[in-house]
Amino acid sequence: MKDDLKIVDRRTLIAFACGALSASGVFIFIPDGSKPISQQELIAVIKQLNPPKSLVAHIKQTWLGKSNLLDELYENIQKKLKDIPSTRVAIEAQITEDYEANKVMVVDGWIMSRTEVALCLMANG
Amino acid sequence: MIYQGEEIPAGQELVGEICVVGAGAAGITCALELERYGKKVILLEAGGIERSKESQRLYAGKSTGMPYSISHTRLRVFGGTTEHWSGFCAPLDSEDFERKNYIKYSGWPITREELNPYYKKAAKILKLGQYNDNPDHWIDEKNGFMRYPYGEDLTEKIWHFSPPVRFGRDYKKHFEKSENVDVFLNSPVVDMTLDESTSRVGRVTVQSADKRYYVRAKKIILACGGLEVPRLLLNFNKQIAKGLGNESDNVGRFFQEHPEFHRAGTLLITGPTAHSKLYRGHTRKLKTRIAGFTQISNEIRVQKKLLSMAFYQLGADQLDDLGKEIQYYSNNLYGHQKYKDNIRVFRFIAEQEPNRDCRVQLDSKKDALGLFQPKLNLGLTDFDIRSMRDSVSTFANIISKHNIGKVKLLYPEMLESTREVVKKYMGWGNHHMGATRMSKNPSEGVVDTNCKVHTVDNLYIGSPSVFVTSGCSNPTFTIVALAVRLAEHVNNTL
Repeated sequence: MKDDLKIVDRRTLIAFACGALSASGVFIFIPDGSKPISQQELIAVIKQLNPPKSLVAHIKQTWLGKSNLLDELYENIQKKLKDIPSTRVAIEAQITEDYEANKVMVVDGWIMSRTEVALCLMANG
Repeated sequence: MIYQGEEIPAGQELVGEICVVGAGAAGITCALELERYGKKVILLEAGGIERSKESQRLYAGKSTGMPYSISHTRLRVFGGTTEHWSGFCAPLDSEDFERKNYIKYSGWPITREELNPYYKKAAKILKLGQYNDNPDHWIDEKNGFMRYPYGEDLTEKIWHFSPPVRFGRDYKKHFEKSENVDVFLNSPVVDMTLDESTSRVGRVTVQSADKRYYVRAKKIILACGGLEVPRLLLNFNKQIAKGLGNESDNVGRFFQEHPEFHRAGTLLITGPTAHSKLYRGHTRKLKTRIAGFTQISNEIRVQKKLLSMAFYQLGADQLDDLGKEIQYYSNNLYGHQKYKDNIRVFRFIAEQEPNRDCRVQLDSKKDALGLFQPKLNLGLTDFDIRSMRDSVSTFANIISKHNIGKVKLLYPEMLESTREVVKKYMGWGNHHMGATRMSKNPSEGVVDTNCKVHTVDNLYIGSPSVFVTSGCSNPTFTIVALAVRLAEHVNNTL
C-alpha cells in the first residue's frame, strides 16, 4: 500500500486540511506565508494523502456525529494562528497540545489525538 | 558441609556464630559473605535439594483479597525462589527511597547512595557482567544503541540480566566443601525462644521429620522470603502474644506486590531510532545483557501524583489490517515513510502503594508442622488503580507527542473501567515485599536501618519484606545488595 503512494509529510497534511476546510467554505489558510492554494492543488493534495478508507470508515462509524471534532479543530487552529503564522506549525502545536492535555481518542485500541482524528476525517471529505 | 536434618539426633543442640534461616538469594548471600569474613554459619533450609510436592505443600495458604497463589509464587527448596527466577535485575531508583507527600508511608530511612556499593557487589554475585545502571553508559549510536527522542518526559532505566544464577544449584558444590558454613536441609524452623531478658533469641527450634533439634547462635538472620518471614514471626507468639517483633502491630502489614500486564499492547515505533538496540539490548561482546526499560520522568510522576512504573518491550508484534492503515496514516503525519517501522509488544510492571491493610496474617488452619498457615489480603487501592491508568495514558501520549510512534492498548477499556480490566487481565510479578518494613522509629516498622528487628537485639531480617516501597524494579538485585550489607553489619558487630 505504502509503495503506491507518494510521501506525504505533515506539511502536506496541513495543506490538505486547509483544502478540506476551504471546500466547506469555512476558511482558507495560507501555509507558511505562501499564496492561498487553489482548489485543484487541494484536490491533488487530498489524492496524495489518500487516507485508508477502512480507517476513515472506522473513525466515522465510531466518532462522527458523536463529537464536534471538526468545529473543535477549526477553533483550535484559529486560536493558534493568532500567534503562529504557519498553519503547519499551528497544527503540529495543536497535536502536541492534545497529547499533553490528554485530548485523545481511542481508535480500535490505538491512542490518537483529537486533531489527528479530525484531520483523518477531513482527509476523506 | 551439607547435612540432612533427619540425620541430626532428636534434642541435639547445634551452636554457631550465626544462624541463617532460609537458603534462597538472601540467605545464601549472607552465608557466603559471612564465610568470607571467616565466621561460622549454620544455614537452615526448610526444603531439600530437589523440589517436591510434599515440601511445597507446606507453603499453602489462603488469599482473602484479590486472587493470588501463595504456594506457586515461591519455592520451598535449597536455592529458594531463584530456582525459577527469570534473572531480571535493576536497582531501586533514588526517588524510590524518598518520602513523597502524595504516597502515604513512603520514604526509606536509608538512601539509594548508601546501597550503591552493595549493588556493585550484588552484580558480581548475580553474574551480571559489566554492571552500569546509567543509561548514558550504554548509548552507542554507531552500534545502534540510540535513545528515543522523547526529551525529558521519559527516561530509560537499565535492567541487567543474570544468567540467571540459581543459588541452590550454583552453590551446592561450594557448600559441600565449605568448612565454615554448615547447611542443614529439610530443617524448617518452627519456633524461636527468647532468653530471660526477652530481648534476644536464645534458641531456634527446628523440626525435621518427626523430631526436633535446636540451634543456638549469637545472631540470627531470618531470610526465608517475603511471605514466610512475617508468617514465622506471627507464629512465634508464645512469649510475645502478638508475635516476635510485632509489639507495634506492623508485622505482616504493608505487603506489596508488583502489578503487571504481561501483554499491555503494541508499540508502533517509527523514525530513525525505531530499531534501537537499547530497548532490547544484547551486548554479548561485553559479556553482559541489558535492556532499557522506559519510565515516566520523576518530574511528571510528581506532578501527576503517579507511582512508579516501567514499560518494556517483549518481542516482535504484528499489525492487523486497521493497524496497518494507522501505521500508514501515522507515517504520513510524521514524515517517517523512509524508515522501517518496528512493531513491538510492550508490557509494564507497576508499583503498589504501601497499604496497612494489605497484609499477611495467620489463618486458623495449621500446616503439617503445627504452624498457622498464612492468610494474605492482597488488594489494590483506588490510588494504585488511578496511577496505573494515568501512567499508561501518559506513556502513550508522550510516545505520540514526540513522534516516536503510536501505542495500541490491548485493553483500551482500562482507560475507562480500569478496576474491571485489572480484575480480568492483570498479573503479578510474584514479588513479596514490605511485610516487615524498615523504619527508624520502632512504632513505624519492624526492622531498623541495619535490618535488625527493633525489639530483638540479635534477630535480623534478610528479605524483601524489609522494603518500605517497592518501586518498579524486580526485587532480587536489591535483596542481594541488602543481604551483602546485612552480612557486613553482622560481621562488624559480632
